[in-house]
Amino acid sequence: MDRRNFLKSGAYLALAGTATQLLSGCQTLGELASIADPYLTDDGRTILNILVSAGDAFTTLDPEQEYYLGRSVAANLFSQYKPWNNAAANEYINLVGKCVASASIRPETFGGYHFQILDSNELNAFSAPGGLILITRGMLRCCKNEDEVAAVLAHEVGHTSHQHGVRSIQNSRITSLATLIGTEALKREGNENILKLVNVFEDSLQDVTNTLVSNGYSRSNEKEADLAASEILVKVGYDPHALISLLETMDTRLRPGASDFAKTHPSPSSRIEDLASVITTKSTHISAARQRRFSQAMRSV
Amino acid sequence: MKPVSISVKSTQLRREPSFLSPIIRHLEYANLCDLQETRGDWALIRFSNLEGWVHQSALTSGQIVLSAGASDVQRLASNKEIALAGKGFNAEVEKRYRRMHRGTNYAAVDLMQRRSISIQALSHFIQSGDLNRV
Repeated sequence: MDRRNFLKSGAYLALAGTATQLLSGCQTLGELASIADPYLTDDGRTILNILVSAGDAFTTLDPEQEYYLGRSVAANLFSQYKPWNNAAANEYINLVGKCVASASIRPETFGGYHFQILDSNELNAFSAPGGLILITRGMLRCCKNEDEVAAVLAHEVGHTSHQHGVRSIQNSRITSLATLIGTEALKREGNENILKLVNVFEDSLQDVTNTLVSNGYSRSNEKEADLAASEILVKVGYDPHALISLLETMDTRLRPGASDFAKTHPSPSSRIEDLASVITTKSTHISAARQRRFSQAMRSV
Repeated sequence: MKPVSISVKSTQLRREPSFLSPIIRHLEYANLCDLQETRGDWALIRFSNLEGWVHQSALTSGQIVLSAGASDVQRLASNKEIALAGKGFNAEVEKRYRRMHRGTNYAAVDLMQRRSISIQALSHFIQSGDLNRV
């Protein structure tokens, strides 16, 4: 099929209006292909086959797209929360963060893991897709030692490595995106679809930002991130009980109805309950050197 | 030997399967490599006559095509081992979005992404903190 016919078939797919309608109810493009098949011309079917053949890349976002989405989610968060650019404290957070990220199931992301302190008294932390992790000064003040800092960062790394942010995007947006990529990829030049892509981008990052700031992840996502955190802590040599002790502190400081962790996370007590069956090892010793550098880095936080 | 591609912006070919290992060379997005063997989460690969270790999370099976044209798209229809770079959410989409949303703070994102930790600093941090090498 030449380029003109490819474009025609792409246009057919779009004009038929079936794509968007059908897409919204489908979990995967494989499902879409079988539902749409009777309605498609041979050319339309070829385009759909292209999309289906891309497999997993279209059931979620590939690392490059996740990277660009994550940057914009973070840019939006930074319009609500001012970054706190104390060099020593941010370097310390990045060292602890890199340690825990290296021990995660997904230590490499497209742009790598980066950690930033936010100038806010709220008890909060966010993981924008792709490894951009933000933590408030208020949350850091809750931590009594480096192991607890590692625990909260490992929890956020757990969200990133399991792609919870990206998975909070509505299915219909991912499949719309796949259709746009399929038709756009056929053109050697021009960007007629760019505005449609920007719309899907905007909607997708709204989905993620709403999840991070307002709605919170599902209870199962939170359990998965806590489990990931406890595994990471053990692997790196931090005390996994630090996650429980941090949650105990948070339980005393969180105010019901506040717009922070209290709003977006299950209660600390329920998370402690879940963790009790997971963390079976004894509490480990925190070295004096570790406590010294923690105290030094946190002095101005 | 199986073809695999680097799926992250940049990573390192390492002498040993560890993030603290000495680096043989830097690898970039879409570099096509040969997979020799795997050990746990690490893959022994060959690139440009050099052999070394890369974490599997930085790899994808098959080929990533940069600046894909229509012929690549047609190849994609019959070959699951091909992925197209730069399609969908990309720098151009971000640029357009930024123009429409002036209140967003990308300068802060750029600043946090510029902060990097060297292997030496990470290694020292792990050792002095009585932590495990990863």
